[in-house]
Amino acid sequence: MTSTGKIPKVDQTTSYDVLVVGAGLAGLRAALAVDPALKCVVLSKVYPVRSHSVAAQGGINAALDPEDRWQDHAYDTIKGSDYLADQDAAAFLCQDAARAVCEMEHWGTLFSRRPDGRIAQRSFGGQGYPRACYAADKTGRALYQTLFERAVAQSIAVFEEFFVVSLVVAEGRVAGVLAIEIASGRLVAIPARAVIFATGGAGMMYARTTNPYIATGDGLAIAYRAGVPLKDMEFIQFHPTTLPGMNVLITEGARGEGGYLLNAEHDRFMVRYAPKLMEVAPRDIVSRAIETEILEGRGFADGSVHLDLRHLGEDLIRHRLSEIYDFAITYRGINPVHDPIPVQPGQHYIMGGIATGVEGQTTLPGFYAAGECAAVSVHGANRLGANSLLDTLVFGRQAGLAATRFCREESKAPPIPEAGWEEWQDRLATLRARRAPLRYGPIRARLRTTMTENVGTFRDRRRLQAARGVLAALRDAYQHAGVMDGGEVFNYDLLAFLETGFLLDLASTVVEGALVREESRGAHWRNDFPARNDDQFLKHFLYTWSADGPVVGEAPVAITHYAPKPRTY
Amino acid sequence: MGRDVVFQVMRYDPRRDVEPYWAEYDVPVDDGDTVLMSLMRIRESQDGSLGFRASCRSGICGSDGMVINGRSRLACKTQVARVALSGRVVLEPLRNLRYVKDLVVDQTPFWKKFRRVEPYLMPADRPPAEERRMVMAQARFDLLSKASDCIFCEICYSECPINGIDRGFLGPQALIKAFRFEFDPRDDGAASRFSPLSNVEGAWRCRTTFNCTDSCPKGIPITEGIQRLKQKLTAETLAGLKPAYRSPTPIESPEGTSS
Repeated sequence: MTSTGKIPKVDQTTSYDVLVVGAGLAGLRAALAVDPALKCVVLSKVYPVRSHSVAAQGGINAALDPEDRWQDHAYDTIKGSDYLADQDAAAFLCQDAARAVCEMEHWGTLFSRRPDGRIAQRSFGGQGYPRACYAADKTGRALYQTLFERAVAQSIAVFEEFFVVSLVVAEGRVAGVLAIEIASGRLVAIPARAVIFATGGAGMMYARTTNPYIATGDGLAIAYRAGVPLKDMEFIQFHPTTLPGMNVLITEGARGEGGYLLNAEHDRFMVRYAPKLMEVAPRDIVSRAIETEILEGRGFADGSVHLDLRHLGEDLIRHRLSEIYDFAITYRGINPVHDPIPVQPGQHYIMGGIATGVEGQTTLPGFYAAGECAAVSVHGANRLGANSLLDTLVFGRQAGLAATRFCREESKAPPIPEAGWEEWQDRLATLRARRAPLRYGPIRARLRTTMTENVGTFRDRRRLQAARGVLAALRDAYQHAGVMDGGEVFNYDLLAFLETGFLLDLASTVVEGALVREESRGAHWRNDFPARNDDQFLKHFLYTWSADGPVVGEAPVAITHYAPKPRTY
Repeated sequence: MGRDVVFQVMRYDPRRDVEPYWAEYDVPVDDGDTVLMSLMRIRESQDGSLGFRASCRSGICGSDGMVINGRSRLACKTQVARVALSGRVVLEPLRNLRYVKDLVVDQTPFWKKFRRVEPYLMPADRPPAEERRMVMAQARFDLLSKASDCIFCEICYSECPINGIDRGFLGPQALIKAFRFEFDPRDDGAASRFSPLSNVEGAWRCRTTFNCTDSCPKGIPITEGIQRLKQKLTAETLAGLKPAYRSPTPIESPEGTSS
């Protein structure tokens, strides 16, 4: 694979055709779409089943019912995106949805059913029709297990517990990745003709987040550092209902099933914010409504409002909302059958990501992205609930098919240059040996509180500039920070240090994007510019890495079906 | 801030230590803090070299199974206050799997056994172009749905006494997975799974101690599923299916190679 064989290999394979990074829904669906005749491997920093796709609760949208139309789903998605979605991409997503759901059902997903045996569907935020197919409130797990089982059935190869540090680019195209084998600590190169990133989100840049420890934006930051532009990074989704404290997700399905949001005055306040859709308005609107209630003194003392499910009855709660029933009891000692659940908004999803087209392609030949780490963009300024599971299945498959075509057309992968491997090898050795008093812990903690306080649901220039200043100081501190653990085997200290570096890079794209977008659209709200401004800002921003911070570029929004209108619910 | 709790943790690094040893950490703990939060606090501020796996922090990814005060549990679903009655929490790696560093175990045998039961739906029909109707009694659907709640945390595997004395036994997780497919009306894989399930390392090796059911963090009635599996296997045997008899095969290579 290299001229001298100095770089360690993972196995005897000289070069892979397709390398998928990330083993969540998008990654596995991509791998399953790759032509079985090609040599494909999936690489994951955790065991595949630990991927955060399993945490998705509420549902997956598809216009399955004969009364429903995919065009209506597309319209709801575009309106929900505050018209920033690329409409051709959104149409593709919704048109492919029924196929994706039927395929998963055929492979074994246990969807909840209607009495007549058809797949049950529930209401979800911003949807004009109940089209979220679900498996109780554990839809992500049900879908994930099915795909994981398919991957086992088709003997998809997986490198478990490999941590990618960089994307290798040679001769103007992708050549593979460099990764740390976590169990041994050695730095290996995995050459491949095509690389698909399906690495998920970056919620760990926020203090209040529903995301797991592993959601540190690795793939986004690695692509960004390799010169691939990121898109729409200022659009961060705050989920309206998370448990105060750990910010464990309480599914939107709870409101889809009829749950009420109540403030401390026992008032169903959504009537003042979205009189038609009430609690099932899109997430950006509900999150702002809750924050407004709390800011104006109508919340509870712990910074929450109440989600009241009691009128739904024990049977529904324990069957269709069984996970959140368990969460409320485990983490708050509250039985939702008898008491309302305290909830507050928390970071949940990033609409932005690696800029891709509908085939998952990026500006770098041979490099693809899918799932939360990608921005096609179908979610625009605000993702609708139950559209992200759909996104992973539809665009994961697209990326796998496109990578297959790329391999058919392109020659062998260029060799991995030794210089790049040596540079990382030296960097890691230096890091392991450095004993600096400052560690990643305080840096990451400060980053997370800064983002939650200054780059949250409500933003303004003053707070964004303050965040920019803090980030600069943190980046400087990071240059001089070190690790505690100089060891090789399962060195999570070193990995967390590297992840903190990824988060710092990404946070600056979020802050710079939020500063330059002087309007309010979808999840991005500027108190100092409280209106949408289509004349100036109906466009995507692209962020390209430079030593001095992100360089901001622009890309047009594809408007093929629906002209932007005011967005009311 | 609440009180200080002593965390006594089994430590072992194969590159540095001849054998495992105990380390102690004082951690300030608030009401509602989980064992996982405390472990993260130790790793971030006291000892970065402490090895343990973690991801979702809310009991859905199955990463952080470990033995907490003598019982296998998820660190993220265990509140410190519940287990630190004497002001002390003792943490060890899961049982019946080889420890590789601190609380990190080698999961290879677990996954090999999982694969052995052919854990995937084998639908009899071609992919449907349209939606399929599947009418199932609510009770049966609930049972299958519950069985598919498994998060692969390996806690049942760690608590099962048969896994402790018989390295070849498939274990509760592989069996409940098999149950989930064997009882799915869409599945046509019974003949294929009959052999691994009914040979000497399969379902019959379960001795119904209910340890798996008692310890499962998702509340899956694993023992019940395994017994239903035995009923089905009995019926299939009576109907003429025979296990392809084979001698127990070694599951674990000495090195526990990852695959």
